[in-house]
Amino acid sequence: MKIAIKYCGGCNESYPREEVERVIRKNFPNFEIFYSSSGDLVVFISGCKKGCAFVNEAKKFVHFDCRKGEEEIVKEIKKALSEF
Amino acid sequence: MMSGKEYIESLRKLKPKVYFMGRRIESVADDPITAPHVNAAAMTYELALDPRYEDVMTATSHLTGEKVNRFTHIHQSVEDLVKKVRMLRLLGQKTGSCFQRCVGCDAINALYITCYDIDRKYGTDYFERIKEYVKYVQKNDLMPAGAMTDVKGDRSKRPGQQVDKDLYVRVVEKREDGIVVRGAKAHITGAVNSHEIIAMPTRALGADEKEYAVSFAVPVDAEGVTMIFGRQTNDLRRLDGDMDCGNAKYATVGGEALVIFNDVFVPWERVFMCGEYDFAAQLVEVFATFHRQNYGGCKVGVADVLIGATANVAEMQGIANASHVVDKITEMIHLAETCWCCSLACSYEGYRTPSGAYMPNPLLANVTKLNITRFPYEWSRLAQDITGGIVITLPSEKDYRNPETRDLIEKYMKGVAEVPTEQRMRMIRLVENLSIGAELPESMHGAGSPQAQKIMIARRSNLEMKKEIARIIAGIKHDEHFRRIRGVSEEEFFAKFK
Repeated sequence: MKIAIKYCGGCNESYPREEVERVIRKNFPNFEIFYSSSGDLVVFISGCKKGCAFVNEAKKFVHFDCRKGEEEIVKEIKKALSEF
Repeated sequence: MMSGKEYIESLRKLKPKVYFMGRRIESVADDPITAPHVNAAAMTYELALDPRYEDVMTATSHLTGEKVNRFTHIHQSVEDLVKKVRMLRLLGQKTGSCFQRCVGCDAINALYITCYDIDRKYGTDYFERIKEYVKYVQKNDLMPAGAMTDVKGDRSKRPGQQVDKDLYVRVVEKREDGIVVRGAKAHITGAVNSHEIIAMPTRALGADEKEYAVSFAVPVDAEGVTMIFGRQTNDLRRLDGDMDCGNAKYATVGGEALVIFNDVFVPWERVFMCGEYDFAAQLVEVFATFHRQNYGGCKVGVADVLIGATANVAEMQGIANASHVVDKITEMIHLAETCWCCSLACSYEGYRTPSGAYMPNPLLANVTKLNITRFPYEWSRLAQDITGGIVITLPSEKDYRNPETRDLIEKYMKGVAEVPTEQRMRMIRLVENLSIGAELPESMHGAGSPQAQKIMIARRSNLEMKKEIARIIAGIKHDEHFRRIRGVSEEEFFAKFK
């Protein structure tokens, strides 16, 4: 299973976006994680509610656009993965 | 695309003739005076390769289909214009300084639009030349410096009226294979650490001033190009360690230079205007519009750093919760975000030009820049207010490092107990760097002095329309909507109240 990560440009991020990626890499060590806007599951990481990272082409995706705790991030990713 | 490190390596291969304080700078990439500016420009390269930032830092070239650094891109949409200012705010936040590369970006975009229009009128081939040049810049990920401001001599006289005709850059010889140019451009941002220099006229020109209607690109180390790096407030602190500068890594503003063209040969393929005096004003206005668009991006990114530094100092000095401090920091944020609104607005109101390239709304771009000639002075005043007199009386790093005085400084320069003295000193120095010195006059004069923006605003504001709508509201002129709303004319409606 491949998880793609797509960041927005980070022009004025309202929280540390890298934290989402760190949590994913830590909690899903057996997945291939790479940077792209297409993959089995795409995780869009936007720095604010403008949501610039989001591209409406992915079939399965999770979009983060504000600060979330580790538990919540993992829960959302697992929920998306469970739909496969 | 090059990385930051590869950009620095690329500079080491060039041999520009650069002077500073009576000596020649042998390596711009390595000299302590110029290296911090190089580092700031390198950030424009480094972030383009980072997946966290590539969405704003890169674009797809409409000329080659290749992924390119956005600074080499010709804007193809309103979204491109918006992404440009997003990129600039990001880089302001990452460097706390000027990263210089926008000027060349604005120059290629302004030339792209203007060359197209010149060709349509005169049947010249400048548009093909600029397209080929942009491809060259994109392929090699180059940083061209944009050079517009002539030294101007006696400001009451036009270029051709000067006692010394070289006070505006001009063509002194036309050859079969190119032209020879002479003159000088003043305060050119990033010139010494660019790969190329793009020269453009500085003002509207008349039919008798064709020799001054010239635009061209040359390598920075072309034969006959000499650069004299300008002094900045506190510039020699760069030789005294890393604390006293405040921003030792990335310096302050762009590292401007006087660029002299002493009979420099330019091959025809690098000439983008030669005698078309009636397009000089357009080139200046389009370039100015692009450049004035920028300032609510980059300066606001730098303001983000200053606001953060001021808030840190307030915490380090135990005043963060004082209501007036909270109010003043909020005011700084309000001022900065107002400028950000302006940059976004002029970008979102941008439009397609006949060349296919997009440009920002000129009126709103000039409003953006005019605000930047004012608001940074106020947010800097507030930063100095909160920081206190220590912003100009702090002991030096050398005294801090001196064993004889170190303990005294540690003890008496302490703020709140839990913050190390050195951290407080570093933060105060950062406030000093960002609020005193070159940063403020750069806000005033970069991309043109305030009166230049006032002239553009006056020209573009459609005052006649405003007068007309006032006449209608005042009841002096017929109001076509009123009859539809009330079913009777204004005269009939108000007659019953008289």
